Amino acid sequence: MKALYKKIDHMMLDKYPNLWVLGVHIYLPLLTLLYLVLFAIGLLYPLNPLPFWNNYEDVFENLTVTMILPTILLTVMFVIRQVKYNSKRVHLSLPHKNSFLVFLYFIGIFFLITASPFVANFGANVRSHMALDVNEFEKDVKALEKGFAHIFLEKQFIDVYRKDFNPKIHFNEDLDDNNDEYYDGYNRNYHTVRYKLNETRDSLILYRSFVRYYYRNDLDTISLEQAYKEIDDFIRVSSKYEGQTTTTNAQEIVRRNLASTKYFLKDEASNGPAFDYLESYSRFDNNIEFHDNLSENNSIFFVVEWKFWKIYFLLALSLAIVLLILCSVKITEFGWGMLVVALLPTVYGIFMALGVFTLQHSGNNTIEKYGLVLTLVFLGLTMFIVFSNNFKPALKRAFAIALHIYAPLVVVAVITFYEEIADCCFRNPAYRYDCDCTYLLTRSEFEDLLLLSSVVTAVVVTYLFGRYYKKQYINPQKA
Amino acid sequence: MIYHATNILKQYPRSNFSLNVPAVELKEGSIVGVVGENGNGKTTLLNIIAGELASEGEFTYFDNAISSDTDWTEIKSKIAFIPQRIPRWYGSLIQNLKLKAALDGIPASTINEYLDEILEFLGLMDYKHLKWTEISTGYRLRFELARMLIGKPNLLVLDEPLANLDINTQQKFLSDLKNILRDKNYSTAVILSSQQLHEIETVSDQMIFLRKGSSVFSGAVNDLESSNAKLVFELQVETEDKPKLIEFLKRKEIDYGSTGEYIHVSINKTDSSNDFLKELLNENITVKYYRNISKSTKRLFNQ
Repeated sequence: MKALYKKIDHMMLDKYPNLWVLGVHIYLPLLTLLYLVLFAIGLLYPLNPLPFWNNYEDVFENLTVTMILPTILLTVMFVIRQVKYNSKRVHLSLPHKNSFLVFLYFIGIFFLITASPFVANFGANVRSHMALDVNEFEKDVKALEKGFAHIFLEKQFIDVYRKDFNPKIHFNEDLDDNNDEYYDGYNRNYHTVRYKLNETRDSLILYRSFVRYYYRNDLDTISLEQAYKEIDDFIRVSSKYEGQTTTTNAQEIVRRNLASTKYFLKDEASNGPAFDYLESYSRFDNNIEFHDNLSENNSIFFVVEWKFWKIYFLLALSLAIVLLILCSVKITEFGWGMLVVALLPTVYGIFMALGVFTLQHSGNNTIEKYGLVLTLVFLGLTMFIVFSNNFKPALKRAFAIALHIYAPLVVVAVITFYEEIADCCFRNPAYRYDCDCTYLLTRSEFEDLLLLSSVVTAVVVTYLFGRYYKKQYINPQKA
Repeated sequence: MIYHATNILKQYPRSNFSLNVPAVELKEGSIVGVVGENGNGKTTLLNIIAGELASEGEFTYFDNAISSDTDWTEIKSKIAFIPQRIPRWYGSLIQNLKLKAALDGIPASTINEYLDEILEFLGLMDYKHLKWTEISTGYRLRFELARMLIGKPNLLVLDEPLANLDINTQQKFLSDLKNILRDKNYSTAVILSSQQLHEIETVSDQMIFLRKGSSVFSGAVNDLESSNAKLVFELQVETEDKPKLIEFLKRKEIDYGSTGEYIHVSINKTDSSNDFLKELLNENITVKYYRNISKSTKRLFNQ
């Protein structure tokens, strides 16, 4: 194995030095192996019988946590190799185009390294999708949601009627038009009827706000026939998920529920009636939870959510920028750069705090305007130091490092301040706000815009600063 | 012409020191030695020549005049600069040499052969698989030289390469330099600074002597003697004979000076150095060390 590695190492060094220096032949196979092992762990984890969700979740969460240390180790090893071999001496002698490709490679490797703790989750996701039919569950869950209100009602979920509420089976005829009266909050004595027979209509009035999957957060009037059907459907579907009821007689269930409710209404107890026709509830609950998390990409299955990765990607991007800077400048100047990186926001924060303190009662978005101006002033001053010939090269480079790192954040800050100052509403297709102006974007699209602009800025600035660093060191230095 | 510069002027901010060298010329196949006491501008001059430090003056590298628009990438690719403190290498020596060769565009199929040729040339074959920490300072310097030679530089700038080397390693290194210049594969000029006057003068075609940033002497070593009307010797005698020697010099009205245990004596060119030595022996003065420094920049240290 060692001989094979040496052979590959020599071949890479001779034929592809640009790749050798990056450690492509070490990190790509290493990460591929790591990914395969972790993916296999997720893929091979037995799902028959379906494990208890909490245990299953613990296994993968612990695996993720355990992988943090190797991830840090791999990151540090990668950085050390780059600093050793791909240092200024080599890095700056490469054509600029190569330097930028090196940056893209850094992003890739850092992303692969930092994403490795979640690879097992991917395997688990694939395996779970193979073992469980999510599409069928999504159909089944509707039947379960509807039926659940008939089958299981815990005491603590019952509300108290007002004292003068007629306990007989009678209900406001205009119930559907006046829902608010019955459930507009706990400040009044009105409360909802959860399971009540409306004799005049031969129908049941249900409040299904707390069925497990929030099928409906409202009063619901259904016919008795419909209630029997819902119960039958529940009984049929629940068995797929190891949920068995103590009785399969829908009429009996409705009758007992009504009796229980009546009993409660008479007693007006603080805790309401409870009915539970489920056997082996824990298995049933667990199986549903498993399916539900898989269906909704919750918990360990979040790894397939783009909205997570688009944020997580910023970690790899940030590490790549810092490493590229480290490879492009002298170590001591990198240290000075980091000092400026630490000091700039401190000074900015002091000025911002002074501004906020002074302008806090001035209104009309004055603080936001001040913040925008302050940000632009800091940007201008930093750029002046970086590009002017009046400062020592080491100082210029230290500020260049800070500008390089903060440029994406500055863009985000400027856009955000501008948005605050304009004070318009975000477009919302589902709701109409009373606003003087409306942005073309929804809030979510605006957040995506911020993210995209910071990433694009980071990439463009890195490309430009690559040239800057190179020119700084290739050209004769002013003392 | 590899390098030509006139009116080199460098002043550091908040410092009284300034470097002022009227001209430096480096021809292909020549070695130029830069000497002078510490802090007199040798490193500054070499940094300027290597393109590491900006200064005033007119500069021509490889027949191209330097202007503010000059792209230094191409020029730097032809200059090999070995600073006094060589940056550490990581990994094995051969690995680093291979990396440099590959990055310099040496075809993969010929890299091993090409490197072996250089290593053989410098007598480093037996050490190529070692690491930086496993070799002595002298070998580090020679490996750095090997690394620099890979790109076949046209200008080799070496700052105090002989410092920290033992006398044999110094000789070996200087011999390497001579061999490089003799080799037709390298159309190179070398400029180096050193405190080892004798050694550097032996290999240099031209010498530059700096004192307080100014070029006191610039030219061939042989020109030193013609520019001086006197012969200059450096002497060391037994401690008990030193008063006798001083008394003798005074009696004969010979100019002299001393640095530590060494006495510097200037006699007219018309006088013979042999006669002078005979007279010393006749005076029963035991001479421990004698050197004619008339053709050496050493004598400039004593002026």
